[in-house]
Amino acid sequence: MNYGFVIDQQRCIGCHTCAVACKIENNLPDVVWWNRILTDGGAEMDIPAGEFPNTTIDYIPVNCQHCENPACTKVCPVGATYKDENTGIVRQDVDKCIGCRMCMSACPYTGVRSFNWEEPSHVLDIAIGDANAPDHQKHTVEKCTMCWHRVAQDEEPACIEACPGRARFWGDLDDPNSEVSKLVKSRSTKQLLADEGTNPSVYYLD
Amino acid sequence: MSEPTIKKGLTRRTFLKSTVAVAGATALVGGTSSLAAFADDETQNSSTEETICYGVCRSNCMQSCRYAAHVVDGKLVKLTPAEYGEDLYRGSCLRGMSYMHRVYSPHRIKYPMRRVEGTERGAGQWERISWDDAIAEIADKFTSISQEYGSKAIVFDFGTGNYGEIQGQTGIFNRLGGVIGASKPAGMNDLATGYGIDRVIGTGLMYFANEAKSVLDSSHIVIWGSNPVHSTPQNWRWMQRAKEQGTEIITIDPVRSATAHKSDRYIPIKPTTDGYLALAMANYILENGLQDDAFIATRSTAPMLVRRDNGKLLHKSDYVAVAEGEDDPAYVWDNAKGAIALYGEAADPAMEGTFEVDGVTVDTSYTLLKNQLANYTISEATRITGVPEESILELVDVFTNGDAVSVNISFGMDHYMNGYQSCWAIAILMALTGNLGRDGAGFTGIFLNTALALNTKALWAAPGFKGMATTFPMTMLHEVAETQKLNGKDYPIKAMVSIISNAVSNWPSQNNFLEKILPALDFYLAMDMEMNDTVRYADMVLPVASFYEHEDFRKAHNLPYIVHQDKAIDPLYEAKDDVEIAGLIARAMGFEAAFPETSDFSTYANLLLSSDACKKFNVTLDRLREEGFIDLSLIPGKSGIVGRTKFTTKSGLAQLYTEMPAPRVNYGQDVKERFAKEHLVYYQPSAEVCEESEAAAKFPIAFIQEHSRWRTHSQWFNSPILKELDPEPVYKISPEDAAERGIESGDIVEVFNDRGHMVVKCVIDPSLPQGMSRMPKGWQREQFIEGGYQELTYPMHDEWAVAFNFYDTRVDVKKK
Repeated sequence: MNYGFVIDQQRCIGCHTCAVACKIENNLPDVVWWNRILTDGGAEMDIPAGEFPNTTIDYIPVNCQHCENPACTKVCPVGATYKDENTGIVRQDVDKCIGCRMCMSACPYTGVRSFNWEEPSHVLDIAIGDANAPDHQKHTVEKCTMCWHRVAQDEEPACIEACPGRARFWGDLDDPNSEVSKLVKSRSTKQLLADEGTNPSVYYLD
Repeated sequence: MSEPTIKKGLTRRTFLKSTVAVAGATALVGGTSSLAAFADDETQNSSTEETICYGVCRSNCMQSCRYAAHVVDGKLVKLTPAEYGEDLYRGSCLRGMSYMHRVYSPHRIKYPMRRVEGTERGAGQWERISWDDAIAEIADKFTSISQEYGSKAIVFDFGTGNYGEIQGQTGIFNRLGGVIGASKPAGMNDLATGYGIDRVIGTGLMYFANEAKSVLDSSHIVIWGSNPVHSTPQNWRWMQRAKEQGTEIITIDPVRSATAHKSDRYIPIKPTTDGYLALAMANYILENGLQDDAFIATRSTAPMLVRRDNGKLLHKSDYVAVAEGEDDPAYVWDNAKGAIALYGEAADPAMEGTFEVDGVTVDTSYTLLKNQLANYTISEATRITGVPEESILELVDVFTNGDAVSVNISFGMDHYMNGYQSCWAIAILMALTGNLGRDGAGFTGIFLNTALALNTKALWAAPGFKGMATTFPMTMLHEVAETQKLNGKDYPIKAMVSIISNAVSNWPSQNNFLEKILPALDFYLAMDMEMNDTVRYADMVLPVASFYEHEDFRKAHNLPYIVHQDKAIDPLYEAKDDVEIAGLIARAMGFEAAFPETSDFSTYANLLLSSDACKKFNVTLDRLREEGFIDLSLIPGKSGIVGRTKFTTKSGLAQLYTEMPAPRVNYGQDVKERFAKEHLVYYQPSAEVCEESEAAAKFPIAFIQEHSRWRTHSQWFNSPILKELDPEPVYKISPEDAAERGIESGDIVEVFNDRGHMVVKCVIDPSLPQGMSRMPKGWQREQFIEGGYQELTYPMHDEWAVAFNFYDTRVDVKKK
């Protein structure tokens, strides 16, 4: 089994709802985002490239790519980040993590991991999201878990049901009959930084 | 309340530890298709219980997304999109899903507060007071002002922060205002679009749109002056589906908006000139015989005869007495007998022509419209609109050869002085091409369900009801307050209460509010959750319950449902809901008969639901509580279409000629001068943004308030989670205008005109043509370096449409 995401860029309107849902579901600390929506256009968010009226813009939601051949797992000295063979999910065990940040420098997808330099803070004084979402600890690296706590209960990751554009899909890329496999087969796709040799489990439909 | 779902969960720590162990033991479960087996072992130690309630977002994006509210230990911990009857009506957005960041915001107003005596309004000096003291003071002020100046000296200002039927805009505070006999300035938001379209299809101010899913039947979607990708993404979802099945999407907009980027074709246009484009297209279509003759003959008023002597239709009552309330049809010319015949009784009604009838010259409505449209040519349209001739002809082709064209229209054109003429012109274009009243054809925007009339009278008209005076529009309040006169007669204004309203931020010409309205008031009361502009300038603020802290229901704007809101959590701190607050104020003022202590939410809800339509659809409070939402579709499985069998005009037909034009609000203005002009659609340049205006010579850049994804008007202005992504106000300028002024992205600039200014960060945005600028709406004054964007807008209105004109604004910019 190899769980992965398919993101339809035609449908994606860059609304950040998936990012917000992720942040809430996992009670992410202030300033930490596991899923970010990048503008493919000008230098600032939501600003297109080109000259009026022939401007262009696209959105690329980026979270941990859960690579088939992850760069991060090879460099972790304590095995805190590893690929779960049963699911293909690249996991990050914060209890084992020693905060060396080797995984962050090895990962070509800058920004999908974040390091808690200080005791994680939360602007709200209540814990939100799912009670089973992971803890956030000082001096550890964290990232998208593919909502392991939900997958473990036969639920989809929180970003999937949140998407108002129905642009996000999730499922087993090894199963040729899954929705994600069919989408990858039927549409023109790309993977981020394909020449890095990581073979990400996130496919973007052009 | 519907039976809550209890979900047994794990604590965060136990599961975390367990997953470590499970990970080391994958071999044990290798090959299973699910990880549920892991979790089953872990659920035995559950220590938290999650209750799921259901509710509906009630902000003024008007899209009515339904949410499941996940509650643990009395706390709202998560909101997830909840089902309606149809999968693609399940909606969500970043604002709705993060609402708990407003509920538990550190900025939430916790208890009643009064401005410290002797301090200036807006100085931020507050003292906590008890509810008892607050209510006593409010009742005392209202009562004494009422006795000294009359009850109309108290202004009830209703905003759009909550569309709940009882706790919201049209809810319980209208009952209070009615028994007090307060003034309620006529609302002016987003009303020009509907007012213009009403001239043709009689849909009132807000009922012009087909249901969102109707676009699946459209061959073409023309998105005209709206940006659904940002402002109505729940509707865009359907448009995207239509696009995937082959519908062509064309966007007409001065700005290459997010929607324009997602469209198949983008047609840039000079702002405010859309009406001219539509009229020139209509004329070209008629001159070249491309119109839909069958639609014009059977579904429009084309053959109805108009008297030249008085501008009215020739009616049955011109010949025989017609009792009041009895049908008074118009005459047409019957070619078969060379004489007039009542509409529907002619064998061969003349669509065109001028005739003499008993000494009176009459023309058909169609002839008058044709003559009027002859003034609008493609070549002149190219000059005025900036749209090249070939693009206009391509658009003509879409409207004349497209199987079913829908026009997505909201409030972009609406927000200019000539907004209603633009929308009227587009409605005429659609009538002449037969793109109305059938599957896939007509307007889309915000669909409002007409089938379920609620008993508003029962809710509002309590024992002792005096009604609220809506004798002048919101834009005139500053004049009335400053002079204490209306149309030369005394009209004292002494107190004001903003209900679900951030008027200081969301009414145009902010400096008028601060410098003319506020100084006239002895008492300004605000009720809100957060310290917005209005609260900051108030004398007293009451903390109100959030969407999830009270029970309510709403006719789901945009959807064919009525939907219930469970009370998911108790109000935080000392917050109270509107039902309780209105009752407390009312009883302290002596209005026990209207607000007995025994009346609660259910009492008022049952009054509102006591209508014939509710009986017909079997809509009851019990059923809403039990089922969450009730489907109100008229034809199951079919989209709601405006005018499917007939239009809601007097004749049931699309009107090419408006017999009795009337201003939207009568406040004593002179309507005689323009009356004759209002029969037939015409183009009128906007007041300020049009290139020929006086302001254009002085202020070269038009400025619009972009409706972005981050806020709904000013709601969510201080959401901690959203501010991490969108931290500060940003003014967007075209590369050409920036270069001329030596401005680079990231610079601090001053944006100004004769009315006011703002000092703010600037970003260069190539989706803007030279001469256009914009800024995402909703930021509050204290979030600016100086000033604020709402200082820049003007307070004038068109005397017929009587609507706010936020976008008809010109500015200049300089680097600070």
